Amino acid sequence: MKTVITKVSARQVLASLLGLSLSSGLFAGADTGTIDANSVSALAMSQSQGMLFGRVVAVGNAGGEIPAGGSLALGIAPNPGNSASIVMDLTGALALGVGLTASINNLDTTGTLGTINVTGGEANTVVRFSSPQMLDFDIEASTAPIADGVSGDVFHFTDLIMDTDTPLDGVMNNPTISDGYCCVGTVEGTTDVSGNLTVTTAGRLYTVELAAPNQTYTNAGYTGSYELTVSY
Amino acid sequence: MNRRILSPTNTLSLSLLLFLSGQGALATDTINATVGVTVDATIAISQTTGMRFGNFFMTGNDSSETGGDGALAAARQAGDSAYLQLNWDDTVDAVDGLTARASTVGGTVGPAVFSISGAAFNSPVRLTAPELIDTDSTAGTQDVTSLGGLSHVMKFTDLELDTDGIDDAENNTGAGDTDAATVHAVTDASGNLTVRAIGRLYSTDLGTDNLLYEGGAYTGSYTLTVSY
Repeated sequence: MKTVITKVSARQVLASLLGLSLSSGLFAGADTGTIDANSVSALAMSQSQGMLFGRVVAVGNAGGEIPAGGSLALGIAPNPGNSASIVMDLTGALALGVGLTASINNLDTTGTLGTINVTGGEANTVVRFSSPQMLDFDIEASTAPIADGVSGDVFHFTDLIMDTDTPLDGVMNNPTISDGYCCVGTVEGTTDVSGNLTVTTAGRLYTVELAAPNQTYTNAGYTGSYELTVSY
Repeated sequence: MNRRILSPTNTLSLSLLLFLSGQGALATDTINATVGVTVDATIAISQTTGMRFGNFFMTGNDSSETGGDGALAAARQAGDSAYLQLNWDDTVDAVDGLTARASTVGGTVGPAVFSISGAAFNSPVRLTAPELIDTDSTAGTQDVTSLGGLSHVMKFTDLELDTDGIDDAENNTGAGDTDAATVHAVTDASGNLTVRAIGRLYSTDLGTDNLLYEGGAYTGSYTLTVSY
């Protein structure tokens, strides 16, 4: 059977189409149907705990050491160049990466994970997190500066990892090569029956070359941020 | 007049498309999450036990004799002074000078003990002092003076540091050491380190040839600096 529509308004067309779907393909004149579209724009995300690496002592890179922030997450394995690094896993444990001439040492046993709360989502629905700093298997993660805002000294943050399991298990859900993951630079999680989800984050700080070769980082609190987006 | 022919399949697809379009329009949120780290290169050191040479007799130098100069190019140059050498094993050796004399009479003897705390874990630190014995600098001296009315003075120098607890000095006294006057050590997994110190007291000319040192307590100090 064929449906023939003559010159009618778009509203009428839509109404007609809906009518067709409800009437098993039988068309018997114009009718007015209703449309229900549910925009779930309430999906929201907020940080309840910032990521903290604790206290460190650090010496910057020497001149010519690559890069002025060794910090590329490429092929899962971070490529620190010649920088020293401090990395936090998703249990909060800290580990050190030795630089060529740069160094970094910790004064605290553990760091504090970032905690992000997703609310207003669809119940039991997959959501995706993305960030330029995300550690994954085939992109070069960009870096975010972590600076004291006074001395000009700066660390670079990248290699962002996330735990999106419920309950949190301290293991990253970032895609790895063996996952056969479809969407690089994306970590998936699933909302609960109320449309909420709590995730934790961690990552890595790299030393850079400061104003002078192998200069000691100035005593201060250093802060910065990374961008995190959630979507369906 | 244009005519469009739609099948029921077309209709169903179009309706579904409209619904998804509405759902995905604003279903994202982006935040700037914070990252913080504190650089704290301050490091603390405190003395838990002072250096103790015990009891002694000593006479001063003759006015023509060179006083105890301490360490120069690793080899101690005692001049013509007598001296008291504090050892790791809680003993003191008394060594006579050209005309000056020294002897020990027991008492409480032992190395100084310093505690470093709050430092970076497993991290190299450096200890420096003007009185450190080393390969290529002239060690400074510190007055150790009687608390009696005569203010008799001995010279303290030749400072040695044990940073690994096995009764030997980690001072850089070997050939080829390029970082003289600095002792290197490493903090433990909690950022702590215990350092012990010994040294030497030399006699001086007290104004009268070979004068006996005034009886009583003698005190002095030296400055020990720790840094990364």
